Amino acid sequence: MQRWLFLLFGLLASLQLSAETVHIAAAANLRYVLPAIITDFEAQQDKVKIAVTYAASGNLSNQIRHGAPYQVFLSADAESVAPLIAGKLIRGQPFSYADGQLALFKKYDTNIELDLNLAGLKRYLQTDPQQKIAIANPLHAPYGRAAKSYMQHHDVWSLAEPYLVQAENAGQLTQFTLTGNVAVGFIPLSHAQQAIVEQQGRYLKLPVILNQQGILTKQATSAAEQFVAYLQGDCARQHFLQQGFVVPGVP
Amino acid sequence: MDWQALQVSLLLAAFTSAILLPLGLLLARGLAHQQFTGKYLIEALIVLPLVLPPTVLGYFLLTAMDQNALMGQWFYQLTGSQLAFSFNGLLLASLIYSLPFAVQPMLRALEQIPYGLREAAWCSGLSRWQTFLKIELPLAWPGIITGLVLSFCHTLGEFGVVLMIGGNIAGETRTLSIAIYDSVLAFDHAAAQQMSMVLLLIALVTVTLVYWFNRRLMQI
Repeated sequence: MQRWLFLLFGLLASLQLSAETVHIAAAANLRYVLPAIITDFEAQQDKVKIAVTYAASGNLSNQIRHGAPYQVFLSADAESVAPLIAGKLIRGQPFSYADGQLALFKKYDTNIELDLNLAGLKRYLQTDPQQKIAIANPLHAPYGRAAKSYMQHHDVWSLAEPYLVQAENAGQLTQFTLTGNVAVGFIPLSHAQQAIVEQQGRYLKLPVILNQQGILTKQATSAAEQFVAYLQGDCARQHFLQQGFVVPGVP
Repeated sequence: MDWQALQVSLLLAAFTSAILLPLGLLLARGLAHQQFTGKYLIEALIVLPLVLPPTVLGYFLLTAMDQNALMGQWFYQLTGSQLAFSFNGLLLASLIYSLPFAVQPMLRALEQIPYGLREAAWCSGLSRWQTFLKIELPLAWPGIITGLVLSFCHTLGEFGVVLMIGGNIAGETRTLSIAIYDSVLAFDHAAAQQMSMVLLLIALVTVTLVYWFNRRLMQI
């Protein structure tokens, strides 16, 4: 059985022109910026293919701890990387590639005032709201954690808690926010700026910065290292800036 | 359209049903005409994946496949590759998850064969093995085919367990159902629609074929 599996996979692998595949685990908020960077990178290298898995950073970190075969992990915060450093599962030092920002998004058909102190949201919550507030799950999604602490800081958390819908990751979060049943959603700025999201409502950039960190795992090959170097280069930074990220060292 | 995911899904389903065919037949034959203590427990164990939430099975498998856990360690020593987040791990999970879908129809088909018929075969000088091959197997064909196809289709449509233990790795554990979920999250509804149509077509065609085939078998 095992031998047949290997044979078959060998056959399939040889069909795919022996390109080396680098497996990357990426935070779900990178979904709209990474593909362009990867296309650029792959155009430069002829024999490297990048395969990305998007999920909540906490989940990905957990999977890597249980032996998931990723070579690069791009987290949406520093906390999710910490257990991997502690478990000696990384090669070299963690690196910064871009900083994420949080946005408050509402659809056109809800009449909540968006403001930085969340006063509009507070007023809305005190009037027996019919609709929900969407956040990512604070347990394992960095943007959920950021949203929670921002609401706590502005004394809205306890009011909002009964009305929360929690999404699995940033991707599902934006999905939830665009359904008709959600009043506002705390989504990544990189998602709020997407045409498909932006045309359905309005957003306010919140003064929250997520220090997104990445690591190379022990399985990283030189191709993975090249990609990480490319990620920190000027071309990639340009993409990050365009898509609503802040890049360390660039105003 | 993620062809790689379709490939993973089809391979997974094909291997699962190919292994479950002899395994399910063996289990069904062992359970069909015998009465022994613990039979109900074994039957219950086989049906268990049908009633358990996929998350429960996923959780148990995830912890068991850990390289520090017994099963994960054993597999690693045996093959040098790890079980968690790999195609082999998914295959193992699918075998457990689809087992009732293979065994149940086969068991029901074998149970319906009257005892007198087998007795007559023995009186005619057929050995137990010959009786199984020449009398029971031909009569149970519809159930066996149904079991085979149900386990294939069920593996193809598996989602919860794959989501928990697969890790959505392209070319390894990203099945079509996961790819659909992924493209919905990415607002790529065109891709999601395409892939859903492919799955719908495969399911419709295979199930129709089974009904047609069984009807023909019954007429003979």
